[in-house]
Amino acid sequence: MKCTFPVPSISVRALHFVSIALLLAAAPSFANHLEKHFPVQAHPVVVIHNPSGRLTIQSWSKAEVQVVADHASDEIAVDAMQKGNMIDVRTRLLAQSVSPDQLRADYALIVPEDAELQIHNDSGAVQVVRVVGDTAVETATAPVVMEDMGGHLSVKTIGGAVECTRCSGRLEVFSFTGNLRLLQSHNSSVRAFTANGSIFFDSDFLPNGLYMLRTFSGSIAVLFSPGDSFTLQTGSLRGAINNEARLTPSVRAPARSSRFASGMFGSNTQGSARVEVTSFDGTINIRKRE
Amino acid sequence: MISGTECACFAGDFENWMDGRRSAAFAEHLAGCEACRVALTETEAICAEATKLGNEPWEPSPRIWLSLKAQLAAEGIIRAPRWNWRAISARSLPRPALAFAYAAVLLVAGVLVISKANQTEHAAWDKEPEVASSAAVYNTQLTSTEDQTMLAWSEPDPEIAAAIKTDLSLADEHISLCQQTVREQPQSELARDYLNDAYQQKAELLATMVERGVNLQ
Repeated sequence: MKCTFPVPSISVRALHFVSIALLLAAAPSFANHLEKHFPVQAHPVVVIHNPSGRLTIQSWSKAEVQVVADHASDEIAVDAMQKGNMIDVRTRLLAQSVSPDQLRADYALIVPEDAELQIHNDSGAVQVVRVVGDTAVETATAPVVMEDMGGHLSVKTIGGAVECTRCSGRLEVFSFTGNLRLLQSHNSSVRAFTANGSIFFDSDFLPNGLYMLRTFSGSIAVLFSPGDSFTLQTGSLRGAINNEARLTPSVRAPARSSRFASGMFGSNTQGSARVEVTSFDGTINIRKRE
Repeated sequence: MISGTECACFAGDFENWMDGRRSAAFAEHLAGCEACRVALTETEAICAEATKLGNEPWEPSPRIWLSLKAQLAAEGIIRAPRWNWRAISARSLPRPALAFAYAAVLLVAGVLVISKANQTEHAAWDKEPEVASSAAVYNTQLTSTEDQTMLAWSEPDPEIAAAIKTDLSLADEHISLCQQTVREQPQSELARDYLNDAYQQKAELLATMVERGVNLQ
């Protein structure tokens, strides 16, 4: 028996061609493209300095840093240089006056897992995935998303939201108006402050861990499981506190300290982790996980 | 006028000078550099005020010192071993006057921490004229630093400019609210902590403005 396969008709081929053309048209058009590869040794340092644009960083097992950069404007230039075991990536201004749109450069980097990252990306967005070296991020309005990270994480932003999922190691986050979300993480130390944003903490409390969550006017929500072992100290000068943890001993505003106008102090189970949650006039919710 | 690059060469001498170890070369540089002279005068004035406030010579808390050190490193005034991305930028020339203006703001915040630590638990702020008067001096210094920063500030991105302006007014509101709360609850450590935080917020914002000005040059 002879098998025959249908040959695509002209109209189907034309349809494929139109689809590809549409896809190409939908993709952002960048006049300037840079791609560079740098061989590195263990624990390389990668420094990125970009005023505006999207930055994504992920890791691979190669001892190599790959930098891909795109930008539309001729008023800026992107440089990627190697100095020993450090890769320096930055956007340079070529004109005295550059509009915000012209400032934009997008970067996609792939780095070794153990890379140390120093990121300054003012506006746009920052995403870092699966890097276990120390990471420091500074942004103005760009939101920061980090997933599966390790090492010492430090994030400082004016108005960008920060979301950290499945992160470990020490975490320090400072924001003025950004919301902070810490999810499924197992950090040994967390210090999170946002003046006007909110904090949502749904992560593990490690034995002897320290968790300091602080806002000025934003709300704070901390989720816990009944078996979690932590000592909770919480206080708000002008805001409400709603607590579902069964603290022992449950002492309201401990007399030894004038620190909290209205506050709670006590342990859940053995109380091995230390949790301090404070706000000036934001509401604090200590809630059981569903 | 001597350029910022030459000023940076004397960064170590500046620290030594403040510590009392004064070199002839730096003295000569000071004689010809107005920016360094102004910075030095301001810093000495602030240290003098800080010393007046406490009974002992001024000693910043580790937190304040770390922030100050980080900023000085960022401005290229001193070297930071790891977090040195600004220092390696050839374009990011140091601007001593603004750097020290920022340092002044941090010192203001630091002094507030010290004043907090020096006060007894039951002392009320409004019952301590010296502390209140010093706080007024530092508020004036903070305002002056802000004025200097605003004059030098040029932000090309309107979104970021708006965010910074909004946050500056929020920081001012926080300072005012916290000052009021400290007066109402003079024994509340938390209120003092938040007042300190509010000053820190403002200092950080001013520092951000200065840094962006430098980095976008």
